[in-house]
Amino acid sequence: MKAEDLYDSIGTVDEDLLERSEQRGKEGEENEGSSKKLRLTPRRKMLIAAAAVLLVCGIVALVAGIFRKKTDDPLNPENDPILKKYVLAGVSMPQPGEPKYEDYPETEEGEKALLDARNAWYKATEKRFALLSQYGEDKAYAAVDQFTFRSMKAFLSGRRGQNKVYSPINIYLLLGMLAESTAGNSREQLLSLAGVDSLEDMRSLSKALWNRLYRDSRNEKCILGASMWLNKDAFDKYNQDTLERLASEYYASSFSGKMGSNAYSEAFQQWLNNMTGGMLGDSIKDMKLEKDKLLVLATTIYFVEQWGKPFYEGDTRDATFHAEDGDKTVPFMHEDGTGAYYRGERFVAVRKSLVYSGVWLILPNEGVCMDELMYDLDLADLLSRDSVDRDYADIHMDIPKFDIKDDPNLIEALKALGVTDIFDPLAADFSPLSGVGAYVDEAKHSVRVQMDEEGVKAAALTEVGIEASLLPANEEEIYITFDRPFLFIVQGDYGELPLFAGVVEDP
Amino acid sequence: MEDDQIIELYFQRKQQGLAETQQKYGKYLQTITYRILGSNEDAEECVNDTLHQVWNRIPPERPSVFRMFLAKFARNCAINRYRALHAAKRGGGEASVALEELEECIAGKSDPEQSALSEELSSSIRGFVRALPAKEGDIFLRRYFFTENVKEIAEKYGISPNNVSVVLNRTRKKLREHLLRENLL
Repeated sequence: MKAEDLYDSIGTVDEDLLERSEQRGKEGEENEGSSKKLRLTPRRKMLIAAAAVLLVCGIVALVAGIFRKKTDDPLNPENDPILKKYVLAGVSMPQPGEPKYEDYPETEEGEKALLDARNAWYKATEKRFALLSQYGEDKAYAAVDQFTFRSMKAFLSGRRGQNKVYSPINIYLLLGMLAESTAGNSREQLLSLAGVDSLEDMRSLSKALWNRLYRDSRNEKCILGASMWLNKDAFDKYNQDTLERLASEYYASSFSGKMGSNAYSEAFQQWLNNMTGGMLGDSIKDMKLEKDKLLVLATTIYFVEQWGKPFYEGDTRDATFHAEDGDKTVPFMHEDGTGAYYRGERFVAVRKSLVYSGVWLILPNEGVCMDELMYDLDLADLLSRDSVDRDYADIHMDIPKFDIKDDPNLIEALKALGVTDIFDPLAADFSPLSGVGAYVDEAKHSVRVQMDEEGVKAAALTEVGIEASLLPANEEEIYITFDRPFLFIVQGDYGELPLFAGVVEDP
Repeated sequence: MEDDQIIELYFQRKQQGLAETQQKYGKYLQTITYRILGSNEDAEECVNDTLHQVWNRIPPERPSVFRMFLAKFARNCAINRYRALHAAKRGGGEASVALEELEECIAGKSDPEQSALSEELSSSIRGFVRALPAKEGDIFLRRYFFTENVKEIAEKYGISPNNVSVVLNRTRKKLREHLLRENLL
């Protein structure tokens, strides 16, 4: 063989990879590039999509104004005809979108301007991503991991036979906003659950996580949103400094309107729908801004990414899934490939890569109860990534497609995790938010995760998964069929941060 | 004009399709071919050849990513031209250096049945690149598909040239191991 043969062969690489290579600038960062091709429509590109809404409703009095510059960002509520009637300050992504080729003329000057603009954009991206490095990645991951392992027990245990899913990162970011709004023991409980030492620590970490996770490109979306819904009749009751901090450090847009009015509730629903890609319409349509509320806080996450290697649709076959309430026939996707796996004492986990992130699919051994798994230290190891001794093998996997929704009881879960004072009218301390006594009387967490074989052919395993996949430690073959309840964990940021975790009991 | 509209012109056999392609992608294709050939004149001829080939391929083919479809033809055309020029001891360009780098992946081996291997090799390379971590794969393709030099890649990624070299070095080693494992060496 000659080097030229290799060079020739590289010329046959799939076009989607070439396109990605050409358009990609920095690690983990992309945006709308030069193309406007039909194949990139959201429906077709969706392989896994998930969305979550979390809102916490406080009580009693009200409002303020935060002022940030209006931009062209379509997700900025100031650009939405319904929302702009109520918006006090719409928060935009701190970084504008990637410069697009088509916005620059194909002249020498145009190309130079494009290059300059893109270089500046890369530098801004680097700066944004660097926040987590400055905070300390290991420290950040350790805090989020411990929260995830603890919270999985609260959100994913019990309720046998039901699908269960929640978003660790969505709740984690809300803890920060709540800690910012509280004092005393109320705050201590929140910081303790978040695994940080101080409010300043929480603030830095939340901001760094937000900046590391936020992505909006053709191939990946991880759209984070935060908002404060204020009661205009209590406008003078809010502490302006706290509201401004929520805007600047947690990217929360602020709104003011008449609590209890249909129009204000509709605006609220509109914001939630905008921020979750319309995936949670069923849950959102019943959400109202009740008239006795002082404030409603909401955080959202909308995540879409394609499989690195899509499942071949022609291989999907109906097969039996052994659910709690009996066997049922559902479509199973099939894949033969090489990948990472991990064998715990009570489970086997295989990793399926998304283009930039990844999903752990975890099957308990026969006879092992799912709740038992939530306390399994091997699972904690799997989450903590560094200590896990992963192996690589030829994996033959059958797994059902699913589209699951859940509205876990957030108040009960947080109480079980030691956050109790904010729900107790006598103990709650929301003094940084308002002089008026307030507590959380309502909290909701809605999540939906879809997983199927669709997606464009864009692929690459994550950094961790692939290094050794090319150098398999052994020739082991794994045959794994997810034909009974299983656990999954969707990890963003190149597989470092847990975005969603769930138990599929009824695909 | 949108790519879909341009492709439609090819299907209608309207020469305007060529003009639109030239206008929209001419410079882009020239950049790709120039990198390989290192000569403006040769690069320009390659772009013309590319357009000619594309005219013959569409229809029946309907590219899903037109820009990359063109890039592949342009690269291929430039490589062929490079070979012809190289045989006549002319030309140079970044391809010479890229080829030297790739030599290390196959060093010490030769295979007389290489023509039978080419399809298997292409398939294996496609799988190899697809399995690489995104950043590594992107940098590998920028170097060995688009034939960009290390400095250009470093600028686009905002990392040091040395960093790019390290990534490429590591990837080439992986590629060698991959080829050995697949019995292609």
